Amino acid sequence: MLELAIGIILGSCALGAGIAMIAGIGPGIGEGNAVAKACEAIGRQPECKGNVTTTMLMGCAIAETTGLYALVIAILLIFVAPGRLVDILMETIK
Amino acid sequence: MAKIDDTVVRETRYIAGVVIILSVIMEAVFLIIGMWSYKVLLGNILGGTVAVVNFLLMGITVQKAVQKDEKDAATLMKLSQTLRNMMLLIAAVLAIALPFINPVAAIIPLFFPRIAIALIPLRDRKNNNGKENDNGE
Repeated sequence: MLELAIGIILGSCALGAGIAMIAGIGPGIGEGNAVAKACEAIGRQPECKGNVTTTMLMGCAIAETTGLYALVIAILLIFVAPGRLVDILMETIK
Repeated sequence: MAKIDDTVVRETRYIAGVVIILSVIMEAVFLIIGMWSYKVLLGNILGGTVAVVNFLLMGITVQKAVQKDEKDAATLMKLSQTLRNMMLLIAAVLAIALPFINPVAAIIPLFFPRIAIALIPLRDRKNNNGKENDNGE
């Protein structure tokens, strides 16, 4: 029974990490769209290339932070959460 | 290898500067709360370097992407984002797996570029004030 409980904990943590990393898809799509629109803007007004690039760079960096949050949550779920949850389970059984 | 655009170099320098300042502040906080050790320093160096390299790689990708057509640019950015995410994942796993690196001190600096971007309006305001003063004289 204990093995089953630990297995469920580990499986849930792995599943949670996988679901958290779905958030990593968003920034990729967002950055791709932003750059595509920037290409369009630079094509229309080539003299604004510097300003457009700076603004886009900062926008991409902000968009990327979302993916970073997801990455940190996934890492915590894989490396930290299982140990803590198993400890709590053991204490409850005692 | 193509020359890196001046805009990318300038912004990366700014990000690197802010990351260094915030890293020093973080080290000071660790020192004050009595948790400082060489592991924190190594973690900070790893995290800070990865954060700046991540931003630089993003800048280089953006520089290349704006020279392509819309569809290719979007694909290139998605590919770059995936690869950079993997780089961050490897760095975070290394920080957790290696016993001589503090994982917290390695992960916190990954968010410093976001803080640097939030401080950009302050930098711009300062630059604008400087220009206005120069014009006034």
